[in-house]
Amino acid sequence: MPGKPALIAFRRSLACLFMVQILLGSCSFSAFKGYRRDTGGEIIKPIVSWFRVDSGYLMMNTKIDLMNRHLSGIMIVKPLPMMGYRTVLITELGLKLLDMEFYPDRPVKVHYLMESLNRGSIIKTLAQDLELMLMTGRPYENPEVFRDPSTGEKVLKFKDRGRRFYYGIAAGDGRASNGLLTSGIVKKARVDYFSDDGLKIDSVKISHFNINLQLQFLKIHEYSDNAVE
Amino acid sequence: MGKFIRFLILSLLSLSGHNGWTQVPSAPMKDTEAFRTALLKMSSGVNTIESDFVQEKKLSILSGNLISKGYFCFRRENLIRWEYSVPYRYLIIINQDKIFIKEENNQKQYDIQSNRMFQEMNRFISGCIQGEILKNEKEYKIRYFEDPKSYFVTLIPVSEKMRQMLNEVQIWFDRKDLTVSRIRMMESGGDYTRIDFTNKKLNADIPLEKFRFK
Repeated sequence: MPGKPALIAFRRSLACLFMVQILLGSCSFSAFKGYRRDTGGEIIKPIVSWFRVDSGYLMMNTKIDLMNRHLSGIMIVKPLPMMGYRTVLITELGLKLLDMEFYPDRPVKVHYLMESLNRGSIIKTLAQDLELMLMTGRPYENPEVFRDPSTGEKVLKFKDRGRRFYYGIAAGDGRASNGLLTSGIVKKARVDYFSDDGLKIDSVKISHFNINLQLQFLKIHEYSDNAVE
Repeated sequence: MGKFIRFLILSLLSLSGHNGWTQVPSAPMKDTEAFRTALLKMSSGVNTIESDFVQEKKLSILSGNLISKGYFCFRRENLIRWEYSVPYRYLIIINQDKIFIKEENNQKQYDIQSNRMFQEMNRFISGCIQGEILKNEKEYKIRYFEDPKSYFVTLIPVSEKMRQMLNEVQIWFDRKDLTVSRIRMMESGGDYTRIDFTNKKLNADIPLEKFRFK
């Protein structure tokens, strides 16, 4: 029988191994397998965000799942000048849950946050997720380009205040099909964009690597033309 | 000329009263106790309510208001169906402690306990519709008004936390049958949600099927 100190040391090393496994599993170097740095000097066109719409705003059915907690409602995304966005989440019956403003060159501005969401870590996570989705993490500065030699698909990497935003662009398409947010070498969140016609967004899914948090957005299709900006 | 300008101003003021910022009864209610007693008596005899509704959401970031329409029904105890049909199709069913939400091809179902916000909203909305909320004088400062058409009640949350979310709730009761004809939830910053109930039917036979998740 091992003694108590040996048992404690064994448990500690198991915990360390577990942590290393988590870290390795979430490292960003495995983010886009098979992609190679492209040094061809191609002029990269700015990525067109799915949320720069002509209709004035977008309404998305929203579902947030954190562990066994759920929050649902309707997200209104309004494009602003200078590549900014205002996002307001309201409950199905109309009550406001959050109101945030995003610009590529400024910190996120929180206009309103429901009391139970108003905690530092929640604000930071929600803001980062929405930045990733809206592409406001300086996506108009010179990116590094990676390319998959077999498909021609490329990944653009943008650096922003210690974070890295990667966006996968399908060949011949200016739109992102997915994106990844990393901090250092740790993968934090992934966004996937879905569109039936390749022109308008239908749904978005954001999932986290290290916490059990998922956000889903489904575009609400309007049946008559009221409430237009 | 002076008369014309006065007429013009009065006309504009009366028009603005009908647009969005609807006029509210301002005369204090003469007999609040009689109103409360009559309301509780009426609501205790009501087992089902069905109605059409128009919901108007004012958001300062949008120049126009979001207007949606649909059908609402309630059956004791705690069965609620909100069916939005315009401008989007959206269904919310609350059946005891479960919520079911359906939109286009997407549907979700979960425990009301896991969504505290919805739980509170459900308690609040059904409390408003049944008039039960007027018993809650610990949580709200309640004021009573009336005019020839309506009884009008304002509820101001006592708790600072609650007030950050809801500045004031206004409820219009139809004078004829004491049913709720309008609810307006005022938020900080001037945003609000207004729900108008029309074509109300009390104690109609609403099958349980309407509250089943499919």
